[in-house]
Amino acid sequence: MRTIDAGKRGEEIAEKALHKAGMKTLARNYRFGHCELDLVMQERKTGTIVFVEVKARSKDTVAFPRQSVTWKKQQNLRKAALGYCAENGLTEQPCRFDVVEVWLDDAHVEQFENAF
Amino acid sequence: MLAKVYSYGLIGLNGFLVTVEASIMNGIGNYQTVGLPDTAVKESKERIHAAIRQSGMSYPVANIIVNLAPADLRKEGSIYDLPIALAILQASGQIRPIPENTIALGELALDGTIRPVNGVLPMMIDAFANGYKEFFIPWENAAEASYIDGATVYAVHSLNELLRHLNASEPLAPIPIRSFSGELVSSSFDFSEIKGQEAAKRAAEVAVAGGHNMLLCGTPGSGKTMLARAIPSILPEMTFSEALEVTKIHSITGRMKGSDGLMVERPFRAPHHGASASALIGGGTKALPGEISLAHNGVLFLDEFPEFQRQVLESLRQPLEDGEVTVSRASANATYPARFILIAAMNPCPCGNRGSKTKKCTCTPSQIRRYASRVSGPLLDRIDLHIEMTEVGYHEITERRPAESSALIRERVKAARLIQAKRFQNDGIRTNAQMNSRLVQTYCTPTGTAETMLQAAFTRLHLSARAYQRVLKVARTIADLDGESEILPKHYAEAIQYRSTELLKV
Repeated sequence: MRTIDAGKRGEEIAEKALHKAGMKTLARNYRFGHCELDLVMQERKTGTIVFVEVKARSKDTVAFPRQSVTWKKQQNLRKAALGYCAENGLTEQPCRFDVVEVWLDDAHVEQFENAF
Repeated sequence: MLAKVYSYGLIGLNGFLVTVEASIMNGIGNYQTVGLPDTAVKESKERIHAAIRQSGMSYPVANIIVNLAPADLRKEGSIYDLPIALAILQASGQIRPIPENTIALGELALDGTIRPVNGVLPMMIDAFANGYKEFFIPWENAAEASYIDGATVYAVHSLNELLRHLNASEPLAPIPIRSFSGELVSSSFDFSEIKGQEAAKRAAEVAVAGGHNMLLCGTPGSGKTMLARAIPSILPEMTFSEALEVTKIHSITGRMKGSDGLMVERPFRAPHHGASASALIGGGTKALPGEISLAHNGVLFLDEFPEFQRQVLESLRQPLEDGEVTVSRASANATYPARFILIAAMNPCPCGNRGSKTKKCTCTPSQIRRYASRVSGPLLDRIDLHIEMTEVGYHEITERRPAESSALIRERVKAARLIQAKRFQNDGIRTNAQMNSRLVQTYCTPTGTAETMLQAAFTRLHLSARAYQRVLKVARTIADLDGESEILPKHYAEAIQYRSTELLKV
């Protein structure tokens, strides 16, 4: 269960960092079928809905965490985002997808706006 | 960050500058190539990734956009691997900017080796004329690139080697510029090996001297093919500009890889009679040159002339007149030079014995007519020298005294070509066969007895206006071989005689 714990911690760190960057949380771990959104945030200034995929890793990995957001994963995130918008009636809202990379060792956060 | 590296592209034989731009932006690793790339260019992404890693550099994990400008011209092939890799390394700050007047071409292997590409010579000639002085090219293409005087050419083995050159830790030496010698290698067939057939040999000499087309019509085994194969041995050397033209055409079809630079010998092309029209004229989706363009400045030998498909033969008509051919396809359009000497060989009838002194022809008149009609009148009209060849007798075959050697004939041909080059120095052509009707009027005006003789021949042989002009051109060549500045009646007489073959009349 350590992987899940690590993921949970990563999401917490990411959420805090995003709050600092001027966003508020709309939902956590939103599920739509087998597709899941880690965080659904909203920019306070512009009102843009931001679907966030959090990738947490410890320092000794081979590749960058962001590289594991593959095409298939992106398709799943798109589906889930559509589901979220439909459920909450957000049809006219601008939205985007961000990937947030969290390095668990030093809690360093890297945000990729409009990742795909 | 943004980086720019220059490369080149080709439409037919003409080059165009390709600006390779790479933009690297923060992101999760999307890669996109824009600017009308074909599949080979799109796939370059994977080769470049591996090659950069193998060369000890890091491949940026970020959103990369590669743009190949101008965006409206199609970019084909693998030549952009190297410039794209350089642009990515430059945009990610791993190498210093490459000088503005530099062109980079080359395909990358996964281990960073640089592989040869097609069309280096025509691209370099065009780029050099447009002010680009430095070139990074694959080392296997070095030979053809070494004749451009004034260019600084670096022949590169691998990406790693180029990177060491660029950061000045191990600078490369530019390849030495070679000068064109035009020296010929001896041909495998020699005219001295051909016994008898003096008339045909003489006609071949005239054809080569003036760039005229020739049709050999004769019984099987009379030496038609042997004569044609020996023709390269009497072709004069090419000038540097002729050699460049020929090499350019051969370069874009990928025939220059690993060879020793320029084509020195005039091309001799002998396609089989099963050849399609596109094989002969040029074609394919990329509108590549065909046999007639590969034979430019040389000889196109069509053995078993009537066995070619009719439509294939007829497609030769226009290039035979114009000396160039425009190949049009949906996705490409290109004009190639096609000034060649056509040597055609055929039998006089299906059984082959018509006109033989010893054997009897067994063909019916209708068979003969059908056979002869496979070669159309308009096509025959464009062939200046019609030669009959019959079997050689026993005494001629066993003759010990060697016939005239190719070297001797070549000297005469060269002398005649020199006279022509002087005469046409302001006319933009090289040989008598290339004269247009205005030039024919200037340089070959029959007078006195010659005029009455030509008049008689014109009516008796039913010559067309074109055939008449061609007779005059052949007469000019014969006079040039004689070293005469005036065309004498005997020269006209010989030229007319090449038009009056009995075997071709049905």
